[in-house]
Amino acid sequence: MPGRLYVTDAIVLSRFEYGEADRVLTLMTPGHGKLKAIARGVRRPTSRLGGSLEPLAELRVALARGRTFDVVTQVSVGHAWLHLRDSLEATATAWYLAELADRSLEERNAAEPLYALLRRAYELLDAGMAPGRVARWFEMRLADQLGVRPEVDRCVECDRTLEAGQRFRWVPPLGGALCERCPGPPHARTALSLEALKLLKAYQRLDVEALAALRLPAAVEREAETAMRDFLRFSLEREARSLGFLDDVRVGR
Amino acid sequence: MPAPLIEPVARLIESFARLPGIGPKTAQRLTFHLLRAPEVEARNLAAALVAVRDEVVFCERCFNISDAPLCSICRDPGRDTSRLCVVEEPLDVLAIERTGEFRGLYHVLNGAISPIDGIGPERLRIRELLARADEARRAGRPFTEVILATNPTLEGEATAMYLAERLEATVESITRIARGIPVGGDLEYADEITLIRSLQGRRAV
Repeated sequence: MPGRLYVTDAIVLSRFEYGEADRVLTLMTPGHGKLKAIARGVRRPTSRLGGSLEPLAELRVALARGRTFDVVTQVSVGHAWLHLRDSLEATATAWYLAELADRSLEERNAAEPLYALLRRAYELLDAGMAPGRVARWFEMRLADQLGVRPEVDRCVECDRTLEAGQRFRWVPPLGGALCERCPGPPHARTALSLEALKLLKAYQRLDVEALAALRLPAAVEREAETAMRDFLRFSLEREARSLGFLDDVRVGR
Repeated sequence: MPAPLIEPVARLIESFARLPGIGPKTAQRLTFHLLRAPEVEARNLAAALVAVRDEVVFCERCFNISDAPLCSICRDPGRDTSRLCVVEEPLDVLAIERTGEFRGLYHVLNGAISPIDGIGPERLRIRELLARADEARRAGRPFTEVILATNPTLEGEATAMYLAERLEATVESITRIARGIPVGGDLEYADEITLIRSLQGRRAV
């Protein structure tokens, strides 16, 4: 039987207030996947745990197994990523990525690759990489990890190579891009420019340093953003709730 | 098989258990306390519950709880109308009023931005705050200071950043309450993020 106490790295994905001064946290951990834990007395100003148990930081957490929730007994901050929190757009993006991770995880199932992906995304946001680029990079790799890598090289219906000079359409229910010869389903298809298709390929193939250096028209970035949002909405069966705030923040710039 | 609770008792337990911070055991204890207590105690509680729903409204200007269209703070001619303190909840107004340090006006947002829970700016009293600041500016009496006193949580910080961006053009200065070590606290036990923030916010003495 596993011991009552254990220690793990963790990122707080979300939390809600519970009782007089407690919080229930949804933690993402590499070895235990997603788990719920209670932090007692954490809302009091004198709590020794309070400031550490905020989202958008990598923590080292000691937990005691409990009946309903595990109980946080100790915590220290591994990486605080404080620069990330100084930018509203980076914060809103980090929230969106946390929601995508939360939706993609099963409770108590090891999630090392997804943990590493979210951690790296927060590092990039903290280092000042454009939030939109980090989000697309994360979305594409998340799709890979979920086993639904979007098809951007061949037509999802006839399997012919997609070539320049054609007109393409983006069809999330079929898993990617459609060539001009294939009709596809009557709904759920939008036009996709060659430049946006190339950008989606770049998100699949280039490393983050190369992605950060790309210079692209805003319209192409928006097209790739819409395509990936539609794709993940279909794959995860729901639109992320945090997208509304992210869009609001960017409109205000 | 355990004897079922009679209907009025079961209903009261269920009502208590719906309140935040009260679990089924506490709900049972409160219910049986009221059954044993003098009748007047239970009737006073019932009357207070009805009165709080019938007589308490939100202030039309600041959205603090009130017994009139404008709350006692907004009605008070002795308050400094050039300073505005923005807080998340009515309880935060009480906390700041207890200090006696602030004599300006308030604006209660009724929460903080939490996108992951589906709470965006449109769910809070942010539109009303921006309109209030704009109205004051148009009237030639812009707020000289807006103090953002949302909680020092991720949600509170994001709300403060969002408000600072939106209020920039309509008020003279925007300040944020300080973050750091609580009075009576011990550095040794302070968490790293609080310590970093308190070092960043240090000031000359």
